[in-house]
Amino acid sequence: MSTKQTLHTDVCVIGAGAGGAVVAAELAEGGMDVVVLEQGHRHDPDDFTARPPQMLARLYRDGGQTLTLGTPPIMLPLGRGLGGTTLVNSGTCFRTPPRVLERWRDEFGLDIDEESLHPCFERVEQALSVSEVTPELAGNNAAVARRGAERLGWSHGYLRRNARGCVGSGVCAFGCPTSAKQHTGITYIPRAERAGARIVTGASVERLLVERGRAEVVRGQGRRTRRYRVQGVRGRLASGLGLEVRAPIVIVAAGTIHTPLLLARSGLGGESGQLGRNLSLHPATAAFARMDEIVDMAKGVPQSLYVDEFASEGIIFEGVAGPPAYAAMSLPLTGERHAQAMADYRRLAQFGLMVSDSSRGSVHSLAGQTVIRYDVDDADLQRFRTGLQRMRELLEAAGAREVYLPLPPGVEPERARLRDLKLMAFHPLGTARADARESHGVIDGDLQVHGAEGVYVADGSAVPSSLGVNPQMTIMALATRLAFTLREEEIPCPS
Amino acid sequence: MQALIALTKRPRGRALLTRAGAADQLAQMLTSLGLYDDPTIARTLGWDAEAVVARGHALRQAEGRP
Repeated sequence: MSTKQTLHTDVCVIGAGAGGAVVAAELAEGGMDVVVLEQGHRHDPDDFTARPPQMLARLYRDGGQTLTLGTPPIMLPLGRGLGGTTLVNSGTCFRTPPRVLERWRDEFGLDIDEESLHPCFERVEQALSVSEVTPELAGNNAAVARRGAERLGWSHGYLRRNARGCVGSGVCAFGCPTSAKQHTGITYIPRAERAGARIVTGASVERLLVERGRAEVVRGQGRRTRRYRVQGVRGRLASGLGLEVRAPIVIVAAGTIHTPLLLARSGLGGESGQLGRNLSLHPATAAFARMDEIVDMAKGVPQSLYVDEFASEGIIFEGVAGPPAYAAMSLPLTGERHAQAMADYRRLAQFGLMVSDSSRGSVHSLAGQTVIRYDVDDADLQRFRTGLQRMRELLEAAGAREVYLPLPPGVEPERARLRDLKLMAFHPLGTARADARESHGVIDGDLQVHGAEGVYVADGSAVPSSLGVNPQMTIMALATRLAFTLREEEIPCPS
Repeated sequence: MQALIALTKRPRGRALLTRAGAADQLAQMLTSLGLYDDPTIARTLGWDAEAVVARGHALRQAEGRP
Protein backbone atom coordinates (compact mmCIF):
# COMPACT_ATOMS: atom_id res chain seq x y z
CA MET A 1 0.00 0.00 0.00
CA SER A 2 1.32 3.45 -0.96
CA THR A 3 2.22 5.86 1.83
CA LYS A 4 2.25 8.84 -0.47
CA GLN A 5 -0.27 10.42 -2.79
CA THR A 6 1.16 12.21 -5.81
CA LEU A 7 -0.71 14.75 -7.89
CA HIS A 8 0.38 16.42 -11.11
CA THR A 9 -0.91 19.84 -12.05
CA ASP A 10 -0.11 23.14 -13.77
CA VAL A 11 -0.33 25.24 -10.61
CA CYS A 12 -0.27 24.37 -6.93
CA VAL A 13 -1.74 27.00 -4.61
CA ILE A 14 -0.93 26.76 -0.91
CA GLY A 15 -3.66 28.31 1.20
CA ALA A 16 -7.31 29.12 0.48
CA GLY A 17 -7.72 32.53 2.07
CA ALA A 18 -7.97 36.00 0.56
CA GLY A 19 -5.08 35.46 -1.83
CA GLY A 20 -5.01 31.73 -2.52
CA ALA A 21 -8.70 31.26 -3.25
CA VAL A 22 -8.80 34.21 -5.64
CA VAL A 23 -5.74 33.24 -7.64
CA ALA A 24 -6.89 29.60 -7.77
CA ALA A 25 -10.32 30.49 -9.16
CA GLU A 26 -8.99 32.94 -11.71
CA LEU A 27 -6.36 30.50 -12.95
CA ALA A 28 -8.78 27.56 -13.10
CA GLU A 29 -11.30 29.64 -15.01
CA GLY A 30 -8.49 30.59 -17.38
CA GLY A 31 -8.09 26.93 -18.26
CA MET A 32 -5.18 25.97 -16.04
CA ASP A 33 -5.16 22.80 -13.98
CA VAL A 34 -5.03 23.87 -10.31
CA VAL A 35 -4.56 22.06 -7.01
CA VAL A 36 -5.25 24.00 -3.81
CA LEU A 37 -3.75 22.75 -0.55
CA GLU A 38 -5.40 24.09 2.59
CA GLN A 39 -4.26 23.17 6.07
CA GLY A 40 -7.66 23.83 7.65
CA HIS A 41 -10.99 22.33 6.85
CA ARG A 42 -14.16 23.07 4.95
CA HIS A 43 -16.58 24.59 7.44
CA ASP A 44 -20.28 23.86 7.15
CA PRO A 45 -22.45 26.87 8.10
CA ASP A 46 -24.81 24.39 9.78
CA ASP A 47 -22.07 23.95 12.38
CA PHE A 48 -21.89 27.66 13.20
CA THR A 49 -23.38 28.15 16.65
CA ALA A 50 -23.03 31.94 17.14
CA ARG A 51 -21.27 31.09 20.40
CA PRO A 52 -17.78 32.65 20.55
CA PRO A 53 -15.92 30.01 22.61
CA GLN A 54 -16.96 27.16 20.32
CA MET A 55 -16.31 29.14 17.17
CA LEU A 56 -12.93 30.42 18.32
CA ALA A 57 -11.83 26.82 18.79
CA ARG A 58 -13.10 25.71 15.39
CA LEU A 59 -12.44 28.60 13.05
CA TYR A 60 -9.22 30.12 14.37
CA ARG A 61 -5.62 29.04 14.53
CA ASP A 62 -4.59 28.27 18.10
CA GLY A 63 -8.21 28.72 19.18
CA GLY A 64 -7.82 32.44 18.50
CA GLN A 65 -5.05 32.74 21.08
CA THR A 66 -2.08 33.37 18.78
CA LEU A 67 0.15 35.73 20.71
CA THR A 68 3.04 37.96 19.70
CA LEU A 69 6.11 38.14 21.92
CA GLY A 70 7.17 41.64 22.78
CA THR A 71 6.04 44.73 24.61
CA PRO A 72 3.18 44.51 25.07
CA PRO A 73 2.20 40.96 24.08
CA ILE A 74 -0.59 41.17 21.51
CA MET A 75 -3.34 38.71 20.59
CA LEU A 76 -3.35 38.14 16.83
CA PRO A 77 -6.45 36.24 15.66
CA LEU A 78 -6.00 34.27 12.43
CA GLY A 79 -8.67 32.27 10.62
CA ARG A 80 -8.16 28.70 9.52
CA GLY A 81 -10.03 26.74 6.89
CA LEU A 82 -11.42 27.34 3.42
CA GLY A 83 -11.69 31.11 3.34
CA GLY A 84 -8.81 31.67 5.75
CA THR A 85 -9.20 34.86 7.73
CA THR A 86 -11.95 36.07 5.34
CA LEU A 87 -14.09 33.45 7.09
CA VAL A 88 -13.83 35.30 10.40
CA ASN A 89 -13.09 38.91 9.53
CA SER A 90 -15.58 41.74 9.67
CA GLY A 91 -15.98 41.91 5.92
CA THR A 92 -14.73 45.47 5.64
CA CYS A 93 -13.61 46.38 2.13
CA PHE A 94 -11.25 49.26 1.37
CA ARG A 95 -9.30 49.71 -1.81
CA THR A 96 -5.59 50.38 -1.35
CA PRO A 97 -5.26 54.10 -0.53
CA PRO A 98 -3.54 56.05 -3.37
CA ARG A 99 -0.93 57.47 -0.96
CA VAL A 100 0.11 53.88 -0.15
CA LEU A 101 0.49 53.00 -3.83
CA GLU A 102 2.64 56.08 -4.32
CA ARG A 103 4.83 54.93 -1.48
CA TRP A 104 5.14 51.48 -3.06
CA ARG A 105 6.34 53.10 -6.27
CA ASP A 106 8.78 55.50 -4.62
CA GLU A 107 10.14 53.31 -1.85
CA PHE A 108 9.89 49.79 -3.27
CA GLY A 109 10.08 50.44 -7.01
CA LEU A 110 6.77 48.70 -7.67
CA ASP A 111 4.92 49.44 -10.86
CA ILE A 112 1.48 49.12 -9.27
CA ASP A 113 -0.78 52.13 -9.49
CA GLU A 114 -4.43 53.02 -9.08
CA GLU A 115 -5.15 52.68 -12.75
CA SER A 116 -3.60 49.26 -13.15
CA LEU A 117 -5.33 47.94 -10.04
CA HIS A 118 -8.70 49.42 -10.94
CA PRO A 119 -9.93 46.44 -13.02
CA CYS A 120 -8.74 44.07 -10.28
CA PHE A 121 -10.77 45.88 -7.64
CA GLU A 122 -13.80 46.08 -9.91
CA ARG A 123 -13.61 42.36 -10.55
CA VAL A 124 -13.20 41.44 -6.88
CA GLU A 125 -15.92 43.79 -5.68
CA GLN A 126 -18.37 42.34 -8.16
CA ALA A 127 -17.46 38.78 -7.19
CA LEU A 128 -17.97 39.55 -3.50
CA SER A 129 -21.08 41.76 -3.80
CA VAL A 130 -19.33 44.66 -2.08
CA SER A 131 -21.68 47.45 -1.03
CA GLU A 132 -22.07 50.06 1.67
CA VAL A 133 -23.81 49.14 4.90
CA THR A 134 -27.17 50.85 5.36
CA PRO A 135 -27.88 52.79 8.60
CA GLU A 136 -30.68 50.35 9.44
CA LEU A 137 -28.40 47.34 9.17
CA ALA A 138 -25.58 49.08 10.99
CA GLY A 139 -27.60 49.01 14.20
CA ASN A 140 -27.56 51.08 17.36
CA ASN A 141 -23.89 50.59 18.18
CA ALA A 142 -22.89 52.37 14.98
CA ALA A 143 -25.56 55.00 15.61
CA VAL A 144 -23.90 55.91 18.91
CA ALA A 145 -20.51 56.52 17.27
CA ARG A 146 -22.10 58.30 14.35
CA ARG A 147 -23.87 60.68 16.72
CA GLY A 148 -20.58 61.44 18.47
CA ALA A 149 -18.76 62.05 15.19
CA GLU A 150 -21.53 64.30 13.91
CA ARG A 151 -21.55 66.38 17.08
CA LEU A 152 -17.79 66.80 16.88
CA GLY A 153 -17.78 67.41 13.15
CA TRP A 154 -15.41 64.49 12.56
CA SER A 155 -15.19 62.77 9.19
CA HIS A 156 -16.96 59.41 9.20
CA GLY A 157 -18.98 57.08 7.01
CA TYR A 158 -20.55 53.67 6.64
CA LEU A 159 -18.18 50.94 5.57
CA ARG A 160 -18.31 48.93 2.39
CA ARG A 161 -18.55 45.20 3.01
CA ASN A 162 -18.61 41.92 1.10
CA ALA A 163 -22.06 40.77 2.15
CA ARG A 164 -25.24 39.78 0.39
CA GLY A 165 -28.55 39.38 2.19
CA CYS A 166 -27.02 40.35 5.54
CA VAL A 167 -29.52 40.64 8.40
CA GLY A 168 -27.07 41.86 11.01
CA SER A 169 -26.57 38.66 12.97
CA GLY A 170 -23.70 40.32 14.83
CA VAL A 171 -21.28 37.41 14.69
CA CYS A 172 -19.11 38.03 11.60
CA ALA A 173 -16.06 37.00 13.59
CA PHE A 174 -17.60 33.71 14.68
CA GLY A 175 -18.96 32.28 11.43
CA CYS A 176 -21.81 33.96 9.58
CA PRO A 177 -24.93 31.85 10.24
CA THR A 178 -26.74 33.21 7.17
CA SER A 179 -23.80 32.81 4.77
CA ALA A 180 -24.34 36.47 3.96
CA LYS A 181 -20.69 37.35 4.32
CA GLN A 182 -19.11 36.57 0.98
CA HIS A 183 -15.87 35.08 2.23
CA THR A 184 -13.64 33.32 -0.26
CA GLY A 185 -14.66 29.87 1.02
CA ILE A 186 -18.16 30.34 -0.43
CA THR A 187 -17.31 32.54 -3.40
CA TYR A 188 -13.99 31.92 -5.07
CA ILE A 189 -13.45 28.35 -3.88
CA PRO A 190 -16.73 27.08 -5.42
CA ARG A 191 -15.83 28.93 -8.61
CA ALA A 192 -12.44 27.24 -8.64
CA GLU A 193 -14.07 23.85 -8.11
CA ARG A 194 -16.59 24.41 -10.88
CA ALA A 195 -13.68 25.21 -13.18
CA GLY A 196 -12.05 21.90 -12.28
CA ALA A 197 -9.65 22.86 -9.49
CA ARG A 198 -8.93 20.16 -6.93
CA ILE A 199 -9.21 21.37 -3.34
CA VAL A 200 -7.36 19.33 -0.74
CA THR A 201 -8.13 20.23 2.89
CA GLY A 202 -6.23 19.08 5.95
CA ALA A 203 -3.01 19.33 3.94
CA SER A 204 0.12 20.60 5.67
CA VAL A 205 2.90 21.61 3.33
CA GLU A 206 6.38 20.87 4.60
CA ARG A 207 8.47 22.35 1.84
CA LEU A 208 8.65 23.36 -1.77
CA LEU A 209 10.59 21.10 -4.08
CA VAL A 210 13.14 22.98 -6.13
CA GLU A 211 15.94 22.14 -8.49
CA ARG A 212 19.09 24.17 -8.51
CA GLY A 213 20.21 25.70 -11.74
CA ARG A 214 20.98 28.95 -13.37
CA ALA A 215 17.92 29.33 -15.48
CA GLU A 216 17.98 32.83 -16.79
CA VAL A 217 14.78 34.58 -17.73
CA VAL A 218 14.08 37.98 -19.12
CA ARG A 219 11.63 40.02 -17.11
CA GLY A 220 10.25 43.49 -17.64
CA GLN A 221 13.20 45.39 -16.23
CA GLY A 222 15.95 43.32 -17.79
CA ARG A 223 17.78 40.10 -17.31
CA ARG A 224 17.64 38.40 -13.92
CA THR A 225 19.13 35.20 -12.70
CA ARG A 226 16.84 32.55 -11.28
CA ARG A 227 18.96 30.22 -9.20
CA TYR A 228 16.15 27.81 -8.46
CA ARG A 229 13.27 26.37 -10.41
CA VAL A 230 10.28 24.98 -8.54
CA GLN A 231 9.11 21.44 -9.16
CA GLY A 232 6.26 21.14 -6.70
CA VAL A 233 5.58 20.74 -3.00
CA ARG A 234 5.78 18.03 -0.40
CA GLY A 235 3.52 17.72 2.60
CA ARG A 236 1.20 15.55 4.59
CA LEU A 237 -2.51 14.99 4.82
CA ALA A 238 -4.40 14.99 8.11
CA SER A 239 -4.65 11.20 7.78
CA GLY A 240 -0.88 10.99 7.97
CA LEU A 241 -0.55 10.05 4.31
CA GLY A 242 2.31 11.79 2.55
CA LEU A 243 1.43 14.16 -0.28
CA GLU A 244 3.46 15.36 -3.21
CA VAL A 245 2.20 17.77 -5.82
CA ARG A 246 4.32 18.13 -8.93
CA ALA A 247 3.82 21.54 -10.54
CA PRO A 248 5.94 24.03 -12.51
CA ILE A 249 4.21 26.91 -10.72
CA VAL A 250 3.65 27.15 -6.96
CA ILE A 251 1.78 30.04 -5.42
CA VAL A 252 2.37 30.41 -1.71
CA ALA A 253 -0.61 31.98 0.06
CA ALA A 254 -0.30 30.53 3.53
CA GLY A 255 -0.68 33.92 5.19
CA THR A 256 1.71 36.53 6.51
CA ILE A 257 2.79 34.44 9.48
CA HIS A 258 3.29 31.10 7.75
CA THR A 259 4.39 31.98 4.23
CA PRO A 260 7.87 33.18 5.28
CA LEU A 261 8.34 30.08 7.42
CA LEU A 262 7.49 27.81 4.49
CA LEU A 263 9.81 29.70 2.16
CA ALA A 264 12.58 29.52 4.76
CA ARG A 265 12.08 25.76 5.20
CA SER A 266 12.42 25.46 1.44
CA GLY A 267 15.61 27.51 1.29
CA LEU A 268 13.95 30.22 -0.80
CA GLY A 269 13.61 33.98 -0.54
CA GLY A 270 16.21 34.48 2.14
CA GLU A 271 18.96 36.20 0.19
CA SER A 272 17.87 39.77 0.80
CA GLY A 273 17.75 39.16 4.53
CA GLN A 274 14.17 40.45 4.52
CA LEU A 275 12.32 37.12 4.74
CA GLY A 276 10.26 37.01 7.94
CA ARG A 277 11.07 40.64 8.72
CA ASN A 278 9.09 43.88 8.24
CA LEU A 279 6.02 42.45 9.95
CA SER A 280 3.43 45.17 10.02
CA LEU A 281 0.23 44.86 12.05
CA HIS A 282 -2.73 47.00 12.86
CA PRO A 283 -2.50 46.99 16.64
CA ALA A 284 -5.94 47.75 17.99
CA THR A 285 -7.93 48.22 21.12
CA ALA A 286 -11.48 49.16 21.97
CA ALA A 287 -13.38 51.29 24.43
CA PHE A 288 -16.84 50.79 25.87
CA ALA A 289 -19.47 53.32 26.83
CA ARG A 290 -22.52 52.95 29.05
CA MET A 291 -25.39 54.70 27.36
CA ASP A 292 -28.88 55.69 28.50
CA GLU A 293 -30.47 54.01 25.52
CA ILE A 294 -30.70 50.33 24.73
CA VAL A 295 -27.88 49.58 22.30
CA ASP A 296 -27.93 45.79 21.95
CA MET A 297 -24.55 45.99 20.26
CA ALA A 298 -24.76 42.54 18.69
CA LYS A 299 -27.88 43.43 16.75
CA GLY A 300 -26.57 44.83 13.50
CA VAL A 301 -23.33 44.68 11.57
CA PRO A 302 -20.50 44.80 14.14
CA GLN A 303 -18.12 46.71 11.88
CA SER A 304 -20.26 49.11 9.93
CA LEU A 305 -18.98 52.63 10.60
CA TYR A 306 -15.59 54.27 10.46
CA VAL A 307 -14.27 57.59 11.71
CA ASP A 308 -11.27 58.68 9.67
CA GLU A 309 -10.80 62.22 10.97
CA PHE A 310 -7.31 61.31 12.18
CA ALA A 311 -6.31 58.84 9.46
CA SER A 312 -3.42 61.09 8.41
CA GLU A 313 -1.99 60.59 11.92
CA GLY A 314 -2.34 56.80 11.61
CA ILE A 315 -5.41 56.61 13.83
CA ILE A 316 -8.64 55.04 12.57
CA PHE A 317 -11.79 54.26 14.53
CA GLU A 318 -13.92 51.36 13.34
CA GLY A 319 -16.99 49.72 14.78
CA VAL A 320 -16.65 46.57 16.81
CA ALA A 321 -19.29 44.65 18.73
CA GLY A 322 -20.45 41.18 19.63
CA PRO A 323 -22.52 38.93 21.86
CA PRO A 324 -22.19 39.10 25.68
CA ALA A 325 -19.40 36.50 25.81
CA TYR A 326 -17.34 38.51 23.35
CA ALA A 327 -18.06 41.82 25.12
CA ALA A 328 -17.20 40.34 28.50
CA MET A 329 -13.91 39.10 27.12
CA SER A 330 -12.87 42.57 25.97
CA LEU A 331 -14.49 44.80 28.60
CA PRO A 332 -11.56 46.48 30.37
CA LEU A 333 -12.83 46.08 33.92
CA THR A 334 -12.35 43.52 36.65
CA GLY A 335 -14.29 42.02 39.53
CA GLU A 336 -17.47 43.70 40.68
CA ARG A 337 -17.17 46.59 38.23
CA HIS A 338 -16.96 44.11 35.37
CA ALA A 339 -20.04 42.27 36.63
CA GLN A 340 -21.99 45.52 37.06
CA ALA A 341 -21.14 46.74 33.59
CA MET A 342 -22.04 43.39 32.08
CA ALA A 343 -25.37 43.44 33.90
CA ASP A 344 -26.01 46.56 31.80
CA TYR A 345 -24.80 44.87 28.60
CA ARG A 346 -27.84 46.00 26.65
CA ARG A 347 -26.80 49.64 27.20
CA LEU A 348 -23.14 49.11 26.37
CA ALA A 349 -21.69 50.52 23.18
CA GLN A 350 -18.24 49.70 21.91
CA PHE A 351 -15.93 51.19 19.30
CA GLY A 352 -12.49 50.19 18.12
CA LEU A 353 -9.24 52.08 17.65
CA MET A 354 -6.78 50.84 15.07
CA VAL A 355 -3.28 52.19 14.54
CA SER A 356 -1.45 52.23 11.22
CA ASP A 357 1.85 51.13 12.67
CA SER A 358 5.39 52.32 12.28
CA SER A 359 6.57 49.46 14.52
CA ARG A 360 7.93 46.41 12.73
CA GLY A 361 8.19 42.84 13.89
CA SER A 362 9.41 39.51 12.63
CA VAL A 363 8.39 35.90 12.26
CA HIS A 364 10.65 32.92 12.66
CA SER A 365 10.59 29.32 13.71
CA LEU A 366 12.21 28.10 16.91
CA ALA A 367 12.33 24.37 17.56
CA GLY A 368 9.40 23.92 15.24
CA GLN A 369 7.31 26.59 16.98
CA THR A 370 6.23 29.80 15.32
CA VAL A 371 7.60 32.87 17.08
CA ILE A 372 6.08 36.25 16.25
CA ARG A 373 8.16 39.07 17.65
CA TYR A 374 6.67 42.55 17.73
CA ASP A 375 7.40 45.55 19.96
CA VAL A 376 5.21 48.63 19.80
CA ASP A 377 7.46 51.65 19.17
CA ASP A 378 7.23 55.10 20.73
CA ALA A 379 5.41 56.62 17.77
CA ASP A 380 2.69 53.98 17.93
CA LEU A 381 2.43 54.36 21.71
CA GLN A 382 1.79 58.05 21.12
CA ARG A 383 -0.86 57.16 18.53
CA PHE A 384 -2.62 55.02 21.13
CA ARG A 385 -2.42 57.80 23.73
CA THR A 386 -3.90 60.29 21.31
CA GLY A 387 -6.40 57.81 19.93
CA LEU A 388 -7.72 56.85 23.35
CA GLN A 389 -8.17 60.50 24.33
CA ARG A 390 -10.15 61.09 21.16
CA MET A 391 -12.11 57.88 21.59
CA ARG A 392 -13.26 59.11 24.98
CA GLU A 393 -14.18 62.43 23.38
CA LEU A 394 -16.18 60.62 20.70
CA LEU A 395 -18.14 58.50 23.13
CA GLU A 396 -18.77 61.37 25.52
CA ALA A 397 -20.03 63.50 22.64
CA ALA A 398 -22.40 60.63 21.81
CA GLY A 399 -23.88 60.95 25.31
CA ALA A 400 -22.05 58.24 27.23
CA ARG A 401 -22.83 58.06 30.96
CA GLU A 402 -19.48 56.44 31.51
CA VAL A 403 -16.57 55.53 29.25
CA TYR A 404 -14.42 52.46 29.90
CA LEU A 405 -11.02 52.86 28.30
CA PRO A 406 -8.74 49.82 27.98
CA LEU A 407 -6.29 51.06 30.60
CA PRO A 408 -5.59 50.09 34.22
CA PRO A 409 -7.52 52.03 36.88
CA GLY A 410 -6.17 55.55 37.39
CA VAL A 411 -4.10 55.60 34.20
CA GLU A 412 -4.98 58.45 31.88
CA PRO A 413 -4.38 57.99 28.15
CA GLU A 414 -1.68 60.66 27.94
CA ARG A 415 0.35 58.86 30.61
CA ALA A 416 -0.23 55.31 29.39
CA ARG A 417 2.86 53.14 29.16
CA LEU A 418 3.30 50.25 26.78
CA ARG A 419 2.59 47.72 29.52
CA ASP A 420 -0.70 49.47 30.27
CA LEU A 421 -2.07 48.78 26.80
CA LYS A 422 -4.35 45.82 26.22
CA LEU A 423 -4.03 45.18 22.54
CA MET A 424 -5.19 42.86 19.86
CA ALA A 425 -3.84 43.10 16.35
CA PHE A 426 -5.19 42.42 12.91
CA HIS A 427 -4.04 42.50 9.30
CA PRO A 428 -0.47 41.17 9.48
CA LEU A 429 1.50 42.15 6.37
CA GLY A 430 4.96 42.42 4.91
CA THR A 431 7.02 39.36 5.90
CA ALA A 432 7.85 38.42 2.29
CA ARG A 433 7.62 41.93 0.97
CA ALA A 434 7.67 42.93 -2.63
CA ASP A 435 10.51 45.13 -3.79
CA ALA A 436 11.76 45.48 -7.32
CA ARG A 437 15.33 45.23 -6.00
CA GLU A 438 16.50 41.73 -5.22
CA SER A 439 18.65 43.05 -2.38
CA HIS A 440 15.69 44.70 -0.62
CA GLY A 441 12.73 42.39 -1.02
CA VAL A 442 11.69 38.75 -1.06
CA ILE A 443 9.54 38.95 -4.18
CA ASP A 444 9.52 41.19 -7.24
CA GLY A 445 6.76 43.39 -8.62
CA ASP A 446 5.18 40.38 -10.33
CA LEU A 447 5.06 38.67 -6.91
CA GLN A 448 7.63 36.07 -7.99
CA VAL A 449 10.25 35.12 -5.42
CA HIS A 450 13.57 36.73 -6.32
CA GLY A 451 15.96 34.12 -7.60
CA ALA A 452 13.40 31.33 -7.91
CA GLU A 453 11.50 30.60 -11.09
CA GLY A 454 7.87 29.58 -10.73
CA VAL A 455 7.41 30.50 -7.05
CA TYR A 456 4.95 33.30 -6.34
CA VAL A 457 3.45 34.80 -3.19
CA ALA A 458 -0.18 35.89 -3.04
CA ASP A 459 -1.10 36.87 0.50
CA GLY A 460 -0.54 39.62 3.01
CA SER A 461 3.14 38.81 3.33
CA ALA A 462 3.70 40.31 -0.13
CA VAL A 463 2.28 43.70 0.86
CA PRO A 464 5.31 45.89 1.49
CA SER A 465 3.91 48.46 3.88
CA SER A 466 1.17 49.14 6.35
CA LEU A 467 -2.04 50.14 4.58
CA GLY A 468 -3.88 51.95 7.34
CA VAL A 469 -7.04 50.18 6.21
CA ASN A 470 -8.31 46.60 6.24
CA PRO A 471 -6.21 44.69 3.70
CA GLN A 472 -8.41 41.94 2.25
CA MET A 473 -9.25 43.88 -0.93
CA THR A 474 -5.60 44.75 -1.53
CA ILE A 475 -4.62 41.08 -1.17
CA MET A 476 -7.43 39.95 -3.46
CA ALA A 477 -6.65 42.60 -6.06
CA LEU A 478 -2.96 41.63 -6.11
CA ALA A 479 -3.97 37.96 -6.42
CA THR A 480 -6.23 38.83 -9.36
CA ARG A 481 -3.39 40.73 -10.99
CA LEU A 482 -1.04 37.77 -10.51
CA ALA A 483 -3.57 35.34 -12.01
CA PHE A 484 -3.99 37.39 -15.15
CA THR A 485 -0.24 37.89 -15.45
CA LEU A 486 0.17 34.11 -15.42
CA ARG A 487 -2.72 33.74 -17.85
CA GLU A 488 -1.00 36.35 -20.03
CA GLU A 489 -4.33 38.10 -20.50
CA GLU A 490 -5.69 41.56 -19.88
CA ILE A 491 -7.95 41.82 -16.86
CA PRO A 492 -11.49 42.22 -18.11
CA CYS A 493 -13.35 45.02 -16.33
CA PRO A 494 -16.80 43.81 -15.29
CA SER A 495 -19.61 45.56 -17.10
CA MET B 1 -5.42 27.29 29.09
CA GLN B 2 -7.10 25.03 31.61
CA ALA B 3 -4.28 25.66 34.06
CA LEU B 4 -4.66 29.41 33.63
CA ILE B 5 -8.39 29.24 34.24
CA ALA B 6 -7.80 27.15 37.35
CA LEU B 7 -5.34 29.74 38.65
CA THR B 8 -7.89 32.53 38.27
CA LYS B 9 -10.17 30.73 40.69
CA ARG B 10 -7.65 30.90 43.56
CA PRO B 11 -6.72 34.15 45.34
CA ARG B 12 -2.99 33.42 45.35
CA GLY B 13 -3.09 32.26 41.77
CA ARG B 14 -4.96 35.39 40.83
CA ALA B 15 -2.35 37.55 42.58
CA LEU B 16 0.40 35.73 40.73
CA LEU B 17 -1.26 36.27 37.38
CA THR B 18 -1.78 39.96 38.09
CA ARG B 19 1.98 40.30 38.11
CA ALA B 20 2.19 38.66 34.72
CA GLY B 21 0.14 41.09 32.68
CA ALA B 22 -0.42 39.05 29.52
CA ALA B 23 -1.29 35.85 31.34
CA ASP B 24 -3.68 37.74 33.59
CA GLN B 25 -5.34 39.34 30.58
CA LEU B 26 -5.67 35.99 28.87
CA ALA B 27 -7.05 34.26 31.95
CA GLN B 28 -9.65 36.95 32.55
CA MET B 29 -10.68 36.86 28.93
CA LEU B 30 -11.16 33.13 28.99
CA THR B 31 -13.06 33.17 32.26
CA SER B 32 -15.43 35.89 31.02
CA LEU B 33 -15.85 34.16 27.70
CA GLY B 34 -17.01 30.99 29.38
CA LEU B 35 -19.29 32.63 31.92
CA TYR B 36 -21.23 34.88 29.55
CA ASP B 37 -21.50 32.21 26.88
CA ASP B 38 -23.94 30.35 29.13
CA PRO B 39 -27.23 30.52 27.19
CA THR B 40 -29.23 31.27 30.34
CA ILE B 41 -27.05 34.24 31.24
CA ALA B 42 -26.81 35.42 27.63
CA ARG B 43 -30.61 35.39 27.22
CA THR B 44 -31.07 37.62 30.25
CA LEU B 45 -28.77 40.08 28.46
CA GLY B 46 -30.88 39.99 25.28
CA TRP B 47 -28.76 37.57 23.27
CA ASP B 48 -30.19 34.27 22.07
CA ALA B 49 -27.59 32.39 20.02
CA GLU B 50 -30.00 29.59 19.16
CA ALA B 51 -32.48 32.05 17.67
CA VAL B 52 -29.71 33.72 15.64
CA VAL B 53 -28.62 30.36 14.26
CA ALA B 54 -32.20 29.27 13.52
CA ARG B 55 -32.89 32.49 11.63
CA GLY B 56 -29.66 32.06 9.66
CA HIS B 57 -30.56 28.48 8.78
CA ALA B 58 -34.05 29.48 7.63
CA LEU B 59 -32.70 32.31 5.48
CA ARG B 60 -30.07 30.08 3.90
CA GLN B 61 -32.69 27.49 3.05
CA ALA B 62 -35.16 30.03 1.71
CA GLU B 63 -32.58 31.75 -0.48
CA GLY B 64 -30.63 28.66 -1.51
CA ARG B 65 -27.35 29.83 -0.01
CA PRO B 66 -24.57 27.41 0.89
